[in-house]
Amino acid sequence: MTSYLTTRVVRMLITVLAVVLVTFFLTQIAFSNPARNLAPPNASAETIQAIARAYGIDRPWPEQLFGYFVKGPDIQGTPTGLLNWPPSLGYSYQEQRPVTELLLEKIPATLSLAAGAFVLWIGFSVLFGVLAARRQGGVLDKITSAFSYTFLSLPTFVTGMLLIYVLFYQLSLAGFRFFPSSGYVPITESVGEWARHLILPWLTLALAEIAIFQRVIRSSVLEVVGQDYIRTAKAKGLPDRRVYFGHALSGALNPVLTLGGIELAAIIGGAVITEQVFGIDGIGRLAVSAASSGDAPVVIGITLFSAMVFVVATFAVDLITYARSSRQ
Amino acid sequence: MPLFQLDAFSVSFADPGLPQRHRFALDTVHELSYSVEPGETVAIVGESGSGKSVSLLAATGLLDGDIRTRGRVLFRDHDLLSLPQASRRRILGKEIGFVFQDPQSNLHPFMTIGAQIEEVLTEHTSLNRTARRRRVLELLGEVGIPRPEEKAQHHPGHLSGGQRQRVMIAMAIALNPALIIADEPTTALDVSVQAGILDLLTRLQAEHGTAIVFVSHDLAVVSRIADRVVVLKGGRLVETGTRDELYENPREQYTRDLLEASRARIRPRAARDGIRIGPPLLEVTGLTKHYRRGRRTTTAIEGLDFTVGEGEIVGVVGESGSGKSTVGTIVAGLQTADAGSITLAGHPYPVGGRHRAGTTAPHLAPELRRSVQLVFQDPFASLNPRRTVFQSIAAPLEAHGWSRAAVRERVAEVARRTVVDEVLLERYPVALSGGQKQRIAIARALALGPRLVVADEPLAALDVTTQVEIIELILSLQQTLGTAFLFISHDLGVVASIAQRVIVLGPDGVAEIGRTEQVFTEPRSEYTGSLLAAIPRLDDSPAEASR
Repeated sequence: MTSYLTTRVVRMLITVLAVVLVTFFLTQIAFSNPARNLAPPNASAETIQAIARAYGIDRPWPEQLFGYFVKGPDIQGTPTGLLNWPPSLGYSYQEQRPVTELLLEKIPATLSLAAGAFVLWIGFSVLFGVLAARRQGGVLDKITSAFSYTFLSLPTFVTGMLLIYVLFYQLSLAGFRFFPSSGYVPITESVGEWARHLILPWLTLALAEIAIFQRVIRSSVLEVVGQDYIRTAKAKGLPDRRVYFGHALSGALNPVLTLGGIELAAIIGGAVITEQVFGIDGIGRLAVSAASSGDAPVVIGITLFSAMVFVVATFAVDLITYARSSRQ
Repeated sequence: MPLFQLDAFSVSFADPGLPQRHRFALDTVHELSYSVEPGETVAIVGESGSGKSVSLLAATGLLDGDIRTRGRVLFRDHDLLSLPQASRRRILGKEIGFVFQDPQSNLHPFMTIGAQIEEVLTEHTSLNRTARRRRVLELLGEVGIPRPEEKAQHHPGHLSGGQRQRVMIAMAIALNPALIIADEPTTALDVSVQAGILDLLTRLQAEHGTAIVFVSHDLAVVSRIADRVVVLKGGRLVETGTRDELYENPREQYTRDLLEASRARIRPRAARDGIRIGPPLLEVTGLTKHYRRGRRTTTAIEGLDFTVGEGEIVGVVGESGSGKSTVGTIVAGLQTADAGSITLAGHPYPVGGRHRAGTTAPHLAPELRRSVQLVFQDPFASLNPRRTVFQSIAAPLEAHGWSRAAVRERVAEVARRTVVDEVLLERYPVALSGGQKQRIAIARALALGPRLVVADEPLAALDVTTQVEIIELILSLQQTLGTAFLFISHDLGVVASIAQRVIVLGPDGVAEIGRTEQVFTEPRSEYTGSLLAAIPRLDDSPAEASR
């Protein structure tokens, strides 16, 4: 087990490094002359040169790469390079701040978004997935299946817009102004406001996820209900609730865990569209603005962050699955 | 008043091929009537497809699927069929306990056994947590699980097969039910374990006065435990009577056939029955195999020496975990031995290397590949459902580059040899019975004309009468084709009737190797003796077998 853990952790590190490396080269290709973009339109060649020097982007790429992973020059008084303590992800040209600081500021919003959506989507998926499996081909099964196909085919921004239109616009016209259309209030300021501002984005994300998960849970429960141990549960005289939500669900959890981990990681890594639609200042929005303004250090920093979330999530799922299977 | 009674009870499954109105026209169980008195053991016997399990599951509402039932099922004075679900649930688990065939698949893999037993108490009683826990430990002790406090925390995977079945029984008796329905409760277990479970059931019955409905295909087991016997065939009652009546004076031909088939299985094969055995074909010396899992190494087999002569049938018997299947897969070339030497007709097998069962098979010389073939336990799983019978039998020939015409001719020939009707060749496995499928699996193994066939539990999934047919087929193939067989089985009766020599694998290695007659009549090792003593026999006089 310990040797498994060490190799696994080493592999995770390699994955993250590889992702960063690829992103680094992509930014090298895509953002051809960042100093030019930063300078005023009529700046002289010397000014541009000076800007490039100030951000350390005048040096050849191997040196920049080394600077990123190990130790680079200080930019605006900020040390750069992953081998510093605390590790530095570089300096944002656009925001004029250290990337680490920028990320730490945006993470709470995205995390709030992901956590709330996760609770909603898992709760409803389990409920409807199991109920649909209990009466395969029944009314509820047909309704949830129609629901799934609808929200699977609707892009997130359409769902988001629809929710805003119905729950914000139409309700506001009717004089009921409960749901704000956009914005984010940190949980530290007011828990109530935090939740009120996030309800619509949570719903938007959750609807899309429920569409998939409800079906996944349904089919994996269906696979289990034919098992002998479900018949044993019925033979014990247990009510359906216990048979399906207890015995069947716990036997059907593995595929749900695997997919759930990946989806959750994807949202934490930045729910780009939802954040954009609802004006939530999170990782996703930061990624969009950094990519469009050629802010390479921020793009690389975000990629590194989401790669890490992914790797940790899959690892956690594997550990849980392993713990479950080792009991068998 | 009877405790449990079926009254003209019929079950039919929806047949999607028939028009809506007639979907339930065919009865799987037809107008079945019998009754069980309090404290009595009634055995329901019959082959698979006779409706013995289906009737009981349908009667208690545990059968899933689109079914329709007619008639009445009385428990005390309730009709279980017309009872609302909630009231029926109060009877299931509380007044009727269930023990199913395979305790591995019937226990929830992710719940501790303590929790699984406790659930019955939580559902049906108002005992508090401490009282429930105490009762769970008491029950585990009562069914003979050592160290109940510790075992209650375990998941079923950490228990042996016999212990799991004891847990199932603990669950069934948790609330002192009036009736236990035991559906083939010992079929999935080894003989010595089976004896323990049967003893446990009879003891519990004597102590609590519980009635038992005991479903079994094995007349020998039934003779040990039943007061009365109900014989079913094709969903209909054939005959019913007390055990002594039925075993000594069966009225129906079908019952006589069943009894005959059960007796035939435990008659050791005589050494001199006209089969000529040639010089050693397979020579195995010092065969050793370890399995590593994490840091633990378990020894599957160590230092095994044996030979199989040309045209000889050698049986390998042993209980689960004795390493008999390991020997089979190594001889079949699916994994390598760690040490020792194996040669087949002079061709050596590769030894060593890191091949494990289930991973890529080791590389064998082409002559070896052709000379040894394999027949598996479960004919339902070992034939590809998307291939016709012809395609399945032809596959090994095609893999060895036979021409189309030659393949056709050869398939027809092996089909004839294995008594597979030509009509079946174009069918898919779904449309075949278990016996037919196993014949086809044997035909496929014979296609390349092997000199040795390794048969790993080839009869375990079949009925007694079908078992007899397959045994006869193997014997005739031995006689006409001179094929040698390494016949692996946990069933001593089967091995006795088919093998010329027997290898008995005990828990700590080889218990003995010898001629069948000698091993079964004068066993040299204590282990073999204890195995033999554990087999339920039909010849046991009722007095001796009674409680």
